[in-house]
Amino acid sequence: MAALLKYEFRKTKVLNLVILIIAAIGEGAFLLGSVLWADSALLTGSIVLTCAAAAGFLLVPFQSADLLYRELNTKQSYMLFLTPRSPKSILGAKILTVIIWLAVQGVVFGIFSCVDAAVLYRASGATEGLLSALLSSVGGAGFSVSDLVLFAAKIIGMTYGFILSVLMAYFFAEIVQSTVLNGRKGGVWFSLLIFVILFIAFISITGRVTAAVPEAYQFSVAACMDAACVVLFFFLASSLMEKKLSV
Amino acid sequence: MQFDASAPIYQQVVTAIKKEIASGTIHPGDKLPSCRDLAVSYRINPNTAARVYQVLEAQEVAETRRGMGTYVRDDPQLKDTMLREMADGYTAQYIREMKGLGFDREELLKILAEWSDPEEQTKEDAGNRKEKTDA
Amino acid sequence: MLETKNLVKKFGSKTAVDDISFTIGPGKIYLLLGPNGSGKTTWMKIAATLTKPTSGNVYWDGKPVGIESRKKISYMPTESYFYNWMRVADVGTYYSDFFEDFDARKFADMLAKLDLAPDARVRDLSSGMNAKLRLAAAMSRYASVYLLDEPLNGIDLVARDQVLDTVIASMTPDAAIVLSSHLVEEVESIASTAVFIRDGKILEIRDTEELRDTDGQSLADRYRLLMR
Repeated sequence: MAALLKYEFRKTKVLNLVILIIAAIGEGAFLLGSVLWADSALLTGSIVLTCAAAAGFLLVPFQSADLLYRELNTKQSYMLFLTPRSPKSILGAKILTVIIWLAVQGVVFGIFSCVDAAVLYRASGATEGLLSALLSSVGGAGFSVSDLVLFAAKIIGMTYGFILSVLMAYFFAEIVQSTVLNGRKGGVWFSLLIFVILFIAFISITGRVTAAVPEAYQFSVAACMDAACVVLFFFLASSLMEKKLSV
Repeated sequence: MQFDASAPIYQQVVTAIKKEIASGTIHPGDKLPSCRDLAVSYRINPNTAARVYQVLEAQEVAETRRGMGTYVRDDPQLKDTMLREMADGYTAQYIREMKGLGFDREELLKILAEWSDPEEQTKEDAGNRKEKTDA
Repeated sequence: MLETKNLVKKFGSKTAVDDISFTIGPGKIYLLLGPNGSGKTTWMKIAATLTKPTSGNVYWDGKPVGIESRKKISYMPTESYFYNWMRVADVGTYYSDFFEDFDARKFADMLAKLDLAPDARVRDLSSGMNAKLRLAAAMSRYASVYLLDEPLNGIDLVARDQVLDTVIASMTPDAAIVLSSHLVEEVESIASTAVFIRDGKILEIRDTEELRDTDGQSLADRYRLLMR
């Protein structure tokens, strides 16, 4: 597993470092702007940070899916499949890499946003009341530690839940494509098609289930369904890889 | 070494080694290469190399000393024995080829005499030179 | 050791391997001989677990080939497969990371002998140099079975000698080496056993010296006879 992770990081590090560097530049511009009271710097900084955060979250799983696709459909597949590692380890390493990169981004952007919020709070002289209103508008409650922790857990749970279940379903779709088509044309469209079918099915099932449950539990139920989705597709994908996939 | 791939290779290597003994390149008592080294230097299968030594041992040309390797038998007569064996081999082949063309014993001896004649040495040299330019 | 039983592989309507059965035993160098598309590469890929059979299977130590057999079987594919971002030395590191039986020193020696610079980029290598790298990687493992698919392809004359020398030197009584090659004449002196294969079927399996002794034929002669 360690060896697999080492190379997964190697393959994905460039993109992630670029995102973090751009974020750092954005943060730098923002802080500079706040110190010098330069509006353009503040604005540019915030825009760069926002874009980097959004892009980061999207690009990490996208790169992972793209990487798996290339590895399944070119001779580079030999690199993974000649090694004495099970499909579970191989897929597990890929998902773990995504989780770790997202966590790194989460921490970095989290720190940046706390710093920036503190800076803005002091500079703007905003009241606590205004802040509370802002916070509750994005789904948070009060300012106590437990409230903030719950809020963070919800954000993390929702983001990870969504991203990972989508990614794992897409992995499965790619493996189905590679097994069935075995190098013939139309691979990308085929895997997209399978994925879309799975996605629609999953969303409708989740929607129906969460609607049937009282609101207090809806978040937990959704989180469980995401987890179940990840686990289900993980086992389906690795079993297909082991038994039927030829490269 | 270029092999005739339609004849057993082990046989050809055995002959090559005997030739080296006959010509004095290898001396009685010399250590022969290990099986692995023999295989690499002749570019043959290691099993074939092992067989070469087995045959050489059976023919009392070489002997294996436990833990030390294979050696040429330390027999002062060995070189002469090998020379005789090579000579017999070449001669038998020559006679076989010539008889195949229809020459009889008398004609064979006559041709050999011509080639062995000191005055005919130049003829042999010319023949050698021709062979070289042909090749 | 490596047993193939009733192996069949179909790609759509094409049958690449048509019910073959044979055994690879230790201490021998096998030569797979057959025309293009005869099933040699497909068999190797199945034994290396890259391709899954349609029916039948290849068994290592009594069990179907899988993750455990990959630890003992070293495969050299005909295709270039290393990651593009790698340098030659990185390939060695990768193999060290994943294979316990990989000998980094042997790899370095082979690179030197085959004239491959450790810091050269894989994507800059010519096809011949890539072939040498693939061979070095496969042969630097202490495997029980080596499957070399066309190891002399694209390799110049002098380097071919080095390749064959490495193959001979790697043979031990416990290991088996299986080579497939078109260059029958160049490899025949090192083979113990020849497996003649055509259209996915095995025509004949012969001990090479026995073929020479009994029938007075070289492998090339036999090949021409069987494949006409």
